[in-house]
Amino acid sequence: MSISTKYNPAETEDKWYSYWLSKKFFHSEPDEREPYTIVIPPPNVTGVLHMGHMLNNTIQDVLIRKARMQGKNACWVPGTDHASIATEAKVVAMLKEQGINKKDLSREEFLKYAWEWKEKYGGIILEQLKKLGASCDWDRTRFTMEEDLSEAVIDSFIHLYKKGWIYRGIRMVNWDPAGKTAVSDEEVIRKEVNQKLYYIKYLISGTEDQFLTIATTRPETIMADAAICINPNDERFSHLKGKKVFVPLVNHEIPVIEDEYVDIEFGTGCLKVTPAHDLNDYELGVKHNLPVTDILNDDGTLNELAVILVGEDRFVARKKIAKMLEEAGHLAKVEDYKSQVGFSERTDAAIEPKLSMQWFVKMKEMAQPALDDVLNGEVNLIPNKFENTYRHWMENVRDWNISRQLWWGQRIPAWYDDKGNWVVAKTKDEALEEFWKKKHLNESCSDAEKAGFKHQLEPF
Amino acid sequence: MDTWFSSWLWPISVFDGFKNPENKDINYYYPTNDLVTAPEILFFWVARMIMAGHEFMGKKPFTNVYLTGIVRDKLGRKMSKSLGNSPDPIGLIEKYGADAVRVGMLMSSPAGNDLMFDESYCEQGRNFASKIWNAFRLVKGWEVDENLVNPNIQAISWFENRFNEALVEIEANFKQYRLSEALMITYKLVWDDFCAWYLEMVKPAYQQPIDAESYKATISFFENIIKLLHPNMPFITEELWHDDLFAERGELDCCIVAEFPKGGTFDEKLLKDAEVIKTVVAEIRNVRNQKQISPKEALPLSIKVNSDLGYDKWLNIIFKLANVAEAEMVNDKVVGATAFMAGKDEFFIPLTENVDVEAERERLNADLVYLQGFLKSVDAKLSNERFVQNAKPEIIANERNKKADAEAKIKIIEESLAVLG
Repeated sequence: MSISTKYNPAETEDKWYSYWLSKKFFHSEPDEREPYTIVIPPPNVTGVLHMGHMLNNTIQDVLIRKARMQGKNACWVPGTDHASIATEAKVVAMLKEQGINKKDLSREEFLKYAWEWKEKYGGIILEQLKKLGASCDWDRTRFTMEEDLSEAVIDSFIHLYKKGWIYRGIRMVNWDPAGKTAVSDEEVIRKEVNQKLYYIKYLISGTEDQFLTIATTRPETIMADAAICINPNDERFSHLKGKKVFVPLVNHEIPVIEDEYVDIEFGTGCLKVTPAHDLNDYELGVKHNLPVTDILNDDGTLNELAVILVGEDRFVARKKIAKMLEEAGHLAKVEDYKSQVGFSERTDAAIEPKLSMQWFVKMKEMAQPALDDVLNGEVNLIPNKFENTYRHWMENVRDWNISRQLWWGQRIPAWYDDKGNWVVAKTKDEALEEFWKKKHLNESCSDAEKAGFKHQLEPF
Repeated sequence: MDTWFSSWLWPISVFDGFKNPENKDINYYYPTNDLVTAPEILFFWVARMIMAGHEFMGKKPFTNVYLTGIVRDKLGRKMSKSLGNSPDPIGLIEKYGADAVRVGMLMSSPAGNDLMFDESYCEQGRNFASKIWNAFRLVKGWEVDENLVNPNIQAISWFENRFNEALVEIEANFKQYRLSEALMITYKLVWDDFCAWYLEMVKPAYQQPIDAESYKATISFFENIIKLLHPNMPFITEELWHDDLFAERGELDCCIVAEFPKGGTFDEKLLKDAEVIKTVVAEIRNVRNQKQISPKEALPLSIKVNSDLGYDKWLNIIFKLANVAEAEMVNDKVVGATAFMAGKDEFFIPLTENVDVEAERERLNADLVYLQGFLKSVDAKLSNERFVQNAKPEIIANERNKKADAEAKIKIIEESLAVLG
């Protein structure tokens, strides 16, 4: 056999890759040999290969090929991740280009587009991995949103719920008004931003011309104010104790409350308390039993509860209200101000603190064995410099908010009736059973009534 | 729901551990062995998979987690679409070949450190593939003469030992997931030891045949090298594997399932001696360059042996690689010759008509100045109390060795200078 003077990769690579595939060298079945197994970190289903994937998958292929040559039963399981927020954002952007607004679609219509998108672009990345020579067992390719894997998600949810490790609660979450979903703390990027500090005058109730002044970066939220808070030790304001004030422009009367939480040195020493739109204010509100008024829609525009500027975007509203306050004589001054603002990693929108009903997984119990594994060498982190980071995380673990207000992904298996009653169940029929057990339905219901009730049930 | 609430089940759900617990796949493959991923998702994904493993399987999901570095550009910036500094991986594969890109990526990414990617790494990978290809073509071009006696026993014995030594180092690095280091050892073994030294030692003179034993040994080495390279460079190795130089291959006799070479023992003294021989050859080539002597002109060589290295076995190699005509063992320094050292032994090339005494003296003086400076720096270290108190004993021993070595060399140079007059 003669050999060409130069090595020609283009000819060689496809030829041998097909040959390996046709002879099933990548395929593994359990047998008497020692197994050597790697599961691929599933790339985003509609993603394309980047240099990080190249490095990562080259390493995996070297390990798997070497193990195979050393007589082990080597199995490298490939697959893709549905990547809910990334994929949904791409589909929303694609629809926008076609002049379609996600808002105008039903869940089913949106999912139809999303699945079409997935069929079109899904799996490109796996084809690219083949070019690299990746010897994955393609017969075992999985997708995190295929039926069996979705069922595993639901089963594990119900398992943890029954164990009491999943619970529901109202929490202040990081709301992304562009993605219209909550995001985790880790998906928020804090940046220092040049802002303005607005000094706003509130008329003291029972007087004609006495004001107190607060300083805020968010004048557009004053309509949601529930109180003004002063520090009881601040002698400048002892005359305000027990008084009420009027929120400018909308003239809501709100109380002046006292709490040592207020920093006497900051701003004017008077703090506006807006429980629906600030985490600290929310906690202060809970402590002082203040009402919560949420004046923002999910997309960051003002709703009817704002009374004024309804429908305006929060940033437009900020500029407009500053002008309105000035015209009404309620704006004392404006200063330049630098502060940290959180932005969504995915959409770069300014994060809005928002109260929302969320589902959480308790982490403390589960974190312990996972921490022990690494500390006692059951699981090795290589290089081991990462052990400290890991330990720090696991010792300070917070409950996991698993709710996402997205359509592309698994739904939380909680079923609601029209009265807001809810149960957790795998299927609609099982949900109905649960409603029976909980006596939200009674035995005098006719079959037609039952059927109607069942029809109304919606998962979360 | 959060995507991670599905991917934390991945090592279980890919084997249908929820739908069908205790099925034969999950019982066989779980827990898996290695996970290779990025440190950014150590908490998001890795930690949660370990939790899910315990909660749903009562067992960890994997034993080793290899955390790769981040791929950056050569300025150290993270690669991103918006910066436009990320090359298209498929474009690279088309330009350089998949093997070259794999080698390029691996060589530049020591375990746990970020990778500063530059296209020149792929070029280096491609050059490596060409080197292997050309070496293969060289061997393939050899004619065998069954009547010839094997003159390469020492060369063959050396490479066999060298291969075993490298294999031990490679396996040790693999054990610690130092894939980049393992590849670097393989690269040097193939490029330097096999191509630059071994093949030069055994290759027959132009248009001359080779003896059967050397031929067989060389092909067997080549086959081992191809197997060793396969995990890193799967395509070129599979292509060469099927060349009839090796054998008629059955349809399932493929490199991908060939047995990875197993380490054997190796003779450390033999390997150490070979390094001295390589120095001798390099020094003679050096002398030729400096004195502009044609490589075709065979030189005489005198050796004053101060060590226990048995030169008899190596002379053929020195003759062939350095074009030495004859070697004489001497007890005293040779007057008026170019001298150099390798290991503890002294070498002289008597170059009566060629020697420029002035130039020789200049060269020796330059060496002397360098060695004296070196000795001074070692002395400074050894007289630094803090260093001597705090450094590990083996480091101090190493410094003392350097001192003794430099002193011995200085003595020899001074003697040579005296001989020059």
